[in-house]
Amino acid sequence: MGKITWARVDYRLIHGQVITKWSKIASANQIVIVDDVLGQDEFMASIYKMAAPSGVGVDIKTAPEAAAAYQDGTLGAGNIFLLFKDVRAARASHEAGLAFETLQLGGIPAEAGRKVVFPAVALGPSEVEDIRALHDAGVDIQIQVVPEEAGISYEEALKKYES
Amino acid sequence: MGLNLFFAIVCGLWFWWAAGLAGYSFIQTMKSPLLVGTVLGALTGNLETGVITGGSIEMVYLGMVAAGGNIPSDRVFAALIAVPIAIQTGCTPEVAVSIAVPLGVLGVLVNNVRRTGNAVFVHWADKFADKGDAKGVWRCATIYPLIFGFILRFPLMFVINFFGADLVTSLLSICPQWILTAFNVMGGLLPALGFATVVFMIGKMKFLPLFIIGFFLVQYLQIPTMAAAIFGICLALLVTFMGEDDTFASLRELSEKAAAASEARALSKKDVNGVFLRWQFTAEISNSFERMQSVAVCASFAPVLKKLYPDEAELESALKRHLGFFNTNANWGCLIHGTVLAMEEQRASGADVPEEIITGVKNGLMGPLAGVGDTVDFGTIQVILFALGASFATQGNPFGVVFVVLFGILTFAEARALFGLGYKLGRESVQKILAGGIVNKLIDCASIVGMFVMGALSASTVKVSTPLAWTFGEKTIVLQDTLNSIAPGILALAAVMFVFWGIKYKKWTITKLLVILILISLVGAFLGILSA
Repeated sequence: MGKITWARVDYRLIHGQVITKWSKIASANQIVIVDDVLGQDEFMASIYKMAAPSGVGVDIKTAPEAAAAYQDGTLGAGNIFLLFKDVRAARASHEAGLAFETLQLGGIPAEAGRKVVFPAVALGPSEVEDIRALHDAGVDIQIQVVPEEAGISYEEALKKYES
Repeated sequence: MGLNLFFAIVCGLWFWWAAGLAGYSFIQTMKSPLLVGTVLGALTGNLETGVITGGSIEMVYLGMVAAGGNIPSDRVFAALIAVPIAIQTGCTPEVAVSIAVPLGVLGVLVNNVRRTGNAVFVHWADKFADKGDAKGVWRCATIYPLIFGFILRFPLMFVINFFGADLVTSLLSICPQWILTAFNVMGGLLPALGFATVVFMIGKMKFLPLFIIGFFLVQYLQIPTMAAAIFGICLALLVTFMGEDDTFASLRELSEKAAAASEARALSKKDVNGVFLRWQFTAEISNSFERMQSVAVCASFAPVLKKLYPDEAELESALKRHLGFFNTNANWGCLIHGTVLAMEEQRASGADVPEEIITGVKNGLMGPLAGVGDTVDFGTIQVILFALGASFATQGNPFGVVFVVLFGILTFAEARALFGLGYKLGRESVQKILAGGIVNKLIDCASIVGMFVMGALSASTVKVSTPLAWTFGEKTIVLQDTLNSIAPGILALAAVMFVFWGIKYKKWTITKLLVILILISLVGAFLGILSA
């Protein structure tokens, strides 16, 4: 049975920073993308699977599927790297039983109604509500984009959001 | 004109242009310390000093590649300060490196100000798109951020270079001897950062023994780096392709298909080339934390959109849909650009191509192609070519710069080819290129070469030793001799492995590692434990 070594919210899911840096820090053998629609798009799903480096498997699951697989111990073998497109998906999976302990916010684009709290990470009311719920559920929320540059904490991010 | 004034002007302009990030494929070349060293050295008649200093700085930054537009430390900033100092003060390359590398961290701050400030132009571009003003969007992708960058960068670099050399000369003259020793230790130790970051980036622990083989091949047999590279390449080809029959079948099929697909299209060859060249030129100039490359995407398509959509309202909505969040490796992202261009062409000619499909292709493909592209371009091709270039340069051979320029030319050609495939075959091209794992095989192949060459280079470049010795009656035990009898260069190997361990297992940032290495050098030199 695999072990969740990393969980990250990143709008672009698999991309340069994730592949060249984070997947290596996490020593990931298996990337699980938790997304409700990506799995239905056969073409995109195939691209995501092929874009991973050799030796790293990619699986695409909906939040309930991922949680159920985790509970059964069939989410994957080795070190598992969870990727969510947004905080909502992370919260939904966690509430369904996908028990990650730390969640890294690494890429949330600035759209109308969101405020940039850290370079490349923007929060709006719904994101704040979701990370509050995750934080209350005991998940350690960290904001960091690339490993070479230090990130900020949950508290600092909220302070920045409220200021 | 005084030499310092000359450097102030030339370096100010260079910093502005290189850090302005115009011309995507050539960004890494323009930012290369090796190029800076060679050109500044040649211009002032100090070719050898320039080349050696540039090559030495290049080594430190080998693995610090910019993924997602984030730079961990600014190599061109460091080089544009260190090379003039080395030329004017005659200090050793080690001292120049020790001065420049900590300053490289400052360059990152400037870049963050740029990417925050560039958000303003995104909002201006929104307004221009609302009015269907394609030229306005173009200015937001080029002139405005370039002017902003000039204000941000030129004066800073000018001032540092104008006063820098004098300041360093007087500082060096009052420095106690142990600090100078510390600088030399630091200069020998810092390249460990470059090699360790590359090993981390290659990331395949199963290849780590190759690093050790490369290292000791050079230590024991003293083979040149180029020889290590040749052995490495042959070894990699053997390991990766042994027993494979037709690895490149799907690529061949792809190029045959592309050659066949040349029916008449609405856009001329000139239009298509224009999109490519505009994207190539603007991709990173206007990069902002808010929507990354959005303005560049819109600006590269704008003139063609204007031609395709004569209707004002359609043009406006086309411009607006290309101002959404976008970020990718701009060379491999050419597959998306080509695909999207073909889709816009079909949409304009009345085919049923809904807006959501176009946006979907962009949003879906930008991530995976950035992952593949950053790994191939920066994680493998760049690392190997720059490493070879730097190894020539540190021996004073100006030929090294050729490798750095070659990287720009190769990736430019790669981007153009990918753009053509995307335009001719649409999104299927992406699937075909990734199918069969050819790209991953080539990455693996390059990873093997990379590990091997990094090991070889570490042996010849990372320099650290100890002067410790104890005398017992008649017999003197020299610690370094004892270490050498165990395995030559063992301290250098330990230094690289220590940095690698820090990055991978302790998750230390580059800045933290820099501070640690600087402290080790200072303390080691002060206590007389370490020498260069």
